[in-house]
Amino acid sequence: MATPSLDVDGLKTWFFTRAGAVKAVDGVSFSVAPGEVMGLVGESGSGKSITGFSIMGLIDAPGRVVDGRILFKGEDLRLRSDAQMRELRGNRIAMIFQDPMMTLNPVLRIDVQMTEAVLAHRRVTRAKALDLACAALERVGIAAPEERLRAYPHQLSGGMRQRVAIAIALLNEPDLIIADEPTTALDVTIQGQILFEMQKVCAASGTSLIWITHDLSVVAGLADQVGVMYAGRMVEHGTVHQVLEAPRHPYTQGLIASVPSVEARGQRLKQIPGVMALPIDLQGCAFAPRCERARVGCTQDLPLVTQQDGRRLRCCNPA
Amino acid sequence: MNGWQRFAAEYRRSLVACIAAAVLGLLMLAALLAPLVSPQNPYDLAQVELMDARLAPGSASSDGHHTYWLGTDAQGRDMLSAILYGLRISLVVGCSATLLAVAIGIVVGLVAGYFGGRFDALLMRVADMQLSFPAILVALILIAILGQGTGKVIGALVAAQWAYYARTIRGVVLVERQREYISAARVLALPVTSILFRHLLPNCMPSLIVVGALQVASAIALEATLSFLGVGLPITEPSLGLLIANGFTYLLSGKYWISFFPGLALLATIMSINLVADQLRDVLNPRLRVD
Repeated sequence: MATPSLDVDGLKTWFFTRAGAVKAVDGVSFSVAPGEVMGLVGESGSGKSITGFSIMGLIDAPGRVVDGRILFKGEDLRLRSDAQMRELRGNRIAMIFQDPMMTLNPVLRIDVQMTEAVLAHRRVTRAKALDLACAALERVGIAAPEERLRAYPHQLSGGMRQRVAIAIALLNEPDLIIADEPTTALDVTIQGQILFEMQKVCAASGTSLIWITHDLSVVAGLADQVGVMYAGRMVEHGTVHQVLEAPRHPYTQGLIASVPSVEARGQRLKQIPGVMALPIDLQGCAFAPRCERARVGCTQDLPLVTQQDGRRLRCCNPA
Repeated sequence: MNGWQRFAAEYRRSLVACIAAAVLGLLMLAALLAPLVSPQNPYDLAQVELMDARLAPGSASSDGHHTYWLGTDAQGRDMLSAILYGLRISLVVGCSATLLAVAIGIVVGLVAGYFGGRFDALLMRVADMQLSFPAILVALILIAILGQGTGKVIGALVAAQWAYYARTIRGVVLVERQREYISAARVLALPVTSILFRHLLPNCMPSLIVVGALQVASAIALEATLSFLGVGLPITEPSLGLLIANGFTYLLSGKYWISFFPGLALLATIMSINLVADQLRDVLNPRLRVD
């Protein structure tokens, strides 16, 4: 395999609050090859989004990346200065956000927002930037792009807006796109279309994709590898087949069981009892208080252990 | 229906606001065209006849050529002309002070709100300190230090008012910067100046327009107060406040018109600006809109 686009190793992002250090991301490692799609799964507050922002170098105080390496094409991003990070952001690494209603500035026209993104990174004329914007809109399947360019965000539908947001991310042909739940706010048919477009675009250009979501069905259809996060840690990480078809961590199993399915009609939906603990001073397995398979040994800290089939697992009593 | 048409349609819903806008427009036009429409140039000593001093409204001039519709003051100046010229000065001083204060307030508010932290704390404590004194006191102290003059009065008005704008803008920025479009702009690594002025500023505009329109009125009132107290504009450039002060001594001897008409002009100006600003707030703020 060639050098991975992104290699995250032992990433720790902590937030220093009065109550203590909140370990939002605590030792996360994974790597993504060019053209590969990685799904990052977990419930709200598990540290998925913070992982994305850490890679972008956009962690605000009181948070800080305290440890770990973020290798982007072999180069450690943590050693880059602010100015050097700005050269990458929106250019080589792009990010897409959850709510398409909010990611576009309501008072600026689409063409302004798109050309601005081009002109921030390239020395081209406005006319050329407009051409690029037009081409990007076409790539994400927007009909009559010239017309859409002159529109304001409120004149577009939700799906259209998210396509525009994706087009902006694609503008400078990045090597890596971090998508933070970009289809959560959309209805299922639009979601399907956008996933299809993303897959097509990434496969065509060799762009790596990190897809942050809590929707397992999206991951199943899109990702090559899946990382399941809980309370700032990776608890299970493997190929999409391994993790989704034969999950071994009780949390992953719980997540999959809580997806409503057509077969189990009329039955009470399984759910994971309790809520996720705030990752301050966690001892041992963070999931243990909610775990059906918990036993005495679970109060011990456990590393992420590579299993025989290649998946990595953090559990002392896996299925 | 485009934005302007909708705006106009909503503005027209209030009759009072329409009248206020008409009065304001008339006053501004009169002030702008003062040299053309006023019967006399009140600063041209050759035109002022001392024989005509303190004539009641409607009196004819001593040479019988024209009528002083609003009377004359102690120097024999036609009050109507003096008011038109005075209005001109009041509006120019009020508006230029507001524009300057808005410019300063925008920069301070955007920077404080966007960057936050110690810088924000420092700027906002300065603003708090400033706002804890009555505006008139701040202006008086500054005039006492700087001395008199048009530029200095404008400076004092700016110093007394920038904090309102800075606070307003900061408040809006604190809300707006949490929005994802700002995260998206940061993720695109847009230049900070572009994020501040192109992305944040337009979103602050509705609040800014409303506060600005209200503050123009209070800037004009403040300037009139300073001039009335004798520390405002120089006597060679009489604003409305100075005209009121000039006639003040004659009020009790029945010669009301020297103070009364400039006062009326001031009242009309400030009230129409306030009413227009009120309606602007209702139209521009969708949360107050009743459908």
